[in-house]
Amino acid sequence: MVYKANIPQGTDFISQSQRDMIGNFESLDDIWGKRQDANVGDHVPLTNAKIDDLGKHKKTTLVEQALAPGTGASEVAYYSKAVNSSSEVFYEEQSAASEIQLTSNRKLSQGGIVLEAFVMFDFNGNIIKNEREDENGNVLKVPLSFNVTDPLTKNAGSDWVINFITPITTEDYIWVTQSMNRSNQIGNIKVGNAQPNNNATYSNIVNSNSFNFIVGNVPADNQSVNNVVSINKGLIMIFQAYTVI
Amino acid sequence: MVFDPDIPQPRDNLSVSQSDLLENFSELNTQFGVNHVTFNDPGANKGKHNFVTLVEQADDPESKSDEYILYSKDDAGDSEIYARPEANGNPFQITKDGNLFLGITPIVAVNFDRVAPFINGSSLGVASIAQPVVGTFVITFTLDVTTALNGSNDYFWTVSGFDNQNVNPVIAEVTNAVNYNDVVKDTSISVSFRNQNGGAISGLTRASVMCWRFQ
Repeated sequence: MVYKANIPQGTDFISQSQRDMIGNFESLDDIWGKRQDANVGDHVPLTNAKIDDLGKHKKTTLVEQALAPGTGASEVAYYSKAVNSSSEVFYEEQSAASEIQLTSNRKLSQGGIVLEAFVMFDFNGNIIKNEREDENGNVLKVPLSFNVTDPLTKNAGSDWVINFITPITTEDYIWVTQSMNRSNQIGNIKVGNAQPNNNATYSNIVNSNSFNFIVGNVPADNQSVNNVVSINKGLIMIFQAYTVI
Repeated sequence: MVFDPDIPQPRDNLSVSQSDLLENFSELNTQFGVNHVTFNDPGANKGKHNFVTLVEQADDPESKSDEYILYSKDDAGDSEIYARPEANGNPFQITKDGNLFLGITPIVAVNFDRVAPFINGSSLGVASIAQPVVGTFVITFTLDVTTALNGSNDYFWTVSGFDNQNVNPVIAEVTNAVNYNDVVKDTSISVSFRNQNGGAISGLTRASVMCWRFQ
């Protein structure tokens, strides 16, 4: 059945109009939200048994648009558009002020950047886990990480390799490294400096699959070091990786 | 054309009903086609949306259990997207001033090395980088944080880097200065990379800088 927008015509017989109108109502019923197939139509079916749900959406499937739709005053719009051949979700501000990309490669984009990975870990390379209760009162241990394998690869001293579960799409990502030294050895000048490991070759340290993270000991003023001396215990580290869309 | 929900009436002549019904079917298709694939579209996308326009609401709509509502509402003169979880949960704002609303939003993100033009890959909000002295880099923004981004120079930053020698830690920080405004500005930020003795790092392999402003 195809919906007919131009019926009934003045010259149509009633029998034809009856067929056309019932065809339209059946077509409407299916297109709006097919009762027999939840994947057809975005809306709660017109004849849905649960009256409270009538007029509402099940989902919004956004057919890719070539251009931003245009918005008037006091309204915003969300839609999908192609970016490098992939459909992504956008929204347009009121009065067509600007269009903003909300998703990128299956992640959310915040202000033009995408969080690709993060982790909080201890000296042994184990990911810190946050305890919280679910709705049934069960205690869950939620790893404070995203896109990072657990545990990290632990090298000698305060040296770890963070391995990404899904490679980051570029090796020129932006990273954040921080550490806290839980040791109370302030008297021995155990000041930790979190950084990527020193190396003349960038991709040896920072690449799409991993990041080599170290915490070096920073000695007191006027003391020199011959190498980056690691701190041997009591550290908590934070790492984040971002890409620009 | 205007959709009329009160036709046909029992006493209407057929000729009147004909035009009323025609107008209703046509208007249904037109109105539906504002945000949706039209009813008479021959393709496979019937029932789907082209885009969703959210007309600003005066109040937060009510949500029942097992449903989530997206809508728009005014925020200081701008229409923004909000969400209300099930069972009249607390509404929360999703967008603000052209960004997702997370409380802070990035203004600068850049991966760079010590050799002009410095920048590697895609950057955010960076017009240029200069190295006025060895080991110190001035990152100039594309937009003034205060006048263009409705912020101030009290933004957040992170700085990290590593060099080509495995002999010293690389202390990465905003350049030390007596006056904050001399190094953390509306249009630029100065960062320095030094070893533990205060010596400038001359062999910077790469560095990473991000700045965030409060939304």
